[in-house]
Amino acid sequence: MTVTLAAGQPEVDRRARGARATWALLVLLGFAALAALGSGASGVSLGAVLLGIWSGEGLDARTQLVLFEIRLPRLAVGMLVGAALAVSGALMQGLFRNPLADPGLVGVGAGSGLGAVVAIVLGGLLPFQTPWLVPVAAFAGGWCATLILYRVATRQGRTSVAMLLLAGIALAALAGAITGILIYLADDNELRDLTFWSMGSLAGSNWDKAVLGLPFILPVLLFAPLLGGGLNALSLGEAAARHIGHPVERIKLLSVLGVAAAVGAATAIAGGIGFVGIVVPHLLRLATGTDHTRLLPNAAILGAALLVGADTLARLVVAPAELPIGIITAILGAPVFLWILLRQAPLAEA
Amino acid sequence: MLVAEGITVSLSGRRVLEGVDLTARPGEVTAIVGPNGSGKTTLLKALSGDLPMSGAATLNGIAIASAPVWQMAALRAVLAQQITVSFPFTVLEVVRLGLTASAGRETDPRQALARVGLAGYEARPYPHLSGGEQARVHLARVLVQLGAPVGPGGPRWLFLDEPVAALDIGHQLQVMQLAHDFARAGGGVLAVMHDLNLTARFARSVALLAGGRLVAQGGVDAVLRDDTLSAAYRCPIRLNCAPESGRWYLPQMAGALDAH
Repeated sequence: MTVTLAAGQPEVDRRARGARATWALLVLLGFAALAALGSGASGVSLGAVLLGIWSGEGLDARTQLVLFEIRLPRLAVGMLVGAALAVSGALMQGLFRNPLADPGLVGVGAGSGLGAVVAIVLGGLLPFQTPWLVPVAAFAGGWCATLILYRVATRQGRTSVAMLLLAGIALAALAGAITGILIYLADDNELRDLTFWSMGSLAGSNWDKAVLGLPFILPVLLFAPLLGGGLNALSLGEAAARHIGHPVERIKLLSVLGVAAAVGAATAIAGGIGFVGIVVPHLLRLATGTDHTRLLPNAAILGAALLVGADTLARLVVAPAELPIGIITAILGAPVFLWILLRQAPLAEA
Repeated sequence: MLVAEGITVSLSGRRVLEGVDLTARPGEVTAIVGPNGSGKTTLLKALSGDLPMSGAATLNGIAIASAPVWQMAALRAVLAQQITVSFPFTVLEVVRLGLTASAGRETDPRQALARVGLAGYEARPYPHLSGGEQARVHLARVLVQLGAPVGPGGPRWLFLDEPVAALDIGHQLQVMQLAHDFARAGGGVLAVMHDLNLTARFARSVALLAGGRLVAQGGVDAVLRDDTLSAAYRCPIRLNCAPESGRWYLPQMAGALDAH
């Protein structure tokens, strides 16, 4: 899929390839989804499901339960989270004008991590107990961090992207320190919860989580491509983008808020999952070029397919137990990332 | 018509421009000249809406400071001195960036590339081009942004900051001729220039800055004179006549040391 762009290739070809890539990625997502629905610890296979529907006999109660209450919601959550992370990565890379930027740069990762840790360690002190405490705290933490950062980086109506980056590093360090204090205070059970949360997992997926994530993630997926033209122009620098007529400050605000919403919600329902946000846009840029109007929707599809595929692997590798999905994405993502860097090195130095 | 009155710009508490008046008419190239640090680029940035300024500036009667970015983008294009493109776009993709907010989309990006001498470069990765080629890609981009020299809102304007700085002599002449043709077709051109010979050849009106102030503005003959130039550049400059192009300027190297 990673087609190298030869220098002499007609440019029209590159645009057509972007459109063709969308269809190819949709087919890939379809296969990933079928594989996810057809595999799992319960032993219900895709063949049995299809046969049941095809022969008109219907599905037995157990198969129905496995399919509709376990695998389908897990597939839905996986697609939402993967798409959210990949689109957010592409948005951040466009905004920061850097192919190595990642959604964590606007503080949403550090903030939601801290929110989750606070909920896990101090949640026991609350008079009531609810399974929603960790996701809600993670989401709120991510938003608070992003809003603080945006406020700090904005002077006289203009947001400094460099300030956003530097203040983000400071905020992440602060959140890390507070997280450290709470980890120090945590008991063994809480430590285990914390560890699993930070590695990310789709294991607890259900329809409620999918419904929780949908209103925050879906609008970002749908509207992000509208920012594509502006992000393309931003690669010339802010002044040049303004000269061409793009509302630069609005593009920055919408990108940051979109990332906070999508990544905040994704982290809330699936924990911290790394590398999807960097690797997916990178692969797509190599295959179909940098045009963000095409990159953003393609990133959503490939991100969804990649995370669903990684989750299927996570469930199969050590079945009937399962690995945290963050481990799979890191094991797959880090070497791919290194490979991309090494491949690109000659171009970057040129 | 571009009319600027009392333009004052302060950067980090220091006054970089003080009370500069400038008028530029469509139909001709207006050059801003002056020594390094005289405020040429600052003036062009202020008139492009990039810097907070005091004073009044209007382009075709529209106040520059308060006009929305899309309105200004339909009226003028800016070619900055240095532009880095942060992703490996192709040449045609970079030129197309000018289309997004274009007033009329009258100019085909491929034609614009041909006009700057880069026909056949469409599919090349922009980072692989030489500095001079990259500069001409951006010239094609601003030509695409403006479209025709005159639109429904009146004449359109090219703001150029040292457009020939990275170019060899042949391409310098080509680019200046493009700007000149744009003006002759009814558009306006405001260009920051270092090369006094090219200025004399292509500009009709010249604004001379020194120390953040306007020293002189007027026709080429009135401003590009031995005494005004020597005083502004603090270096003896003498006007010589070339048989064909009319005039050229050479600093007198022997006296240059004495002047400092």
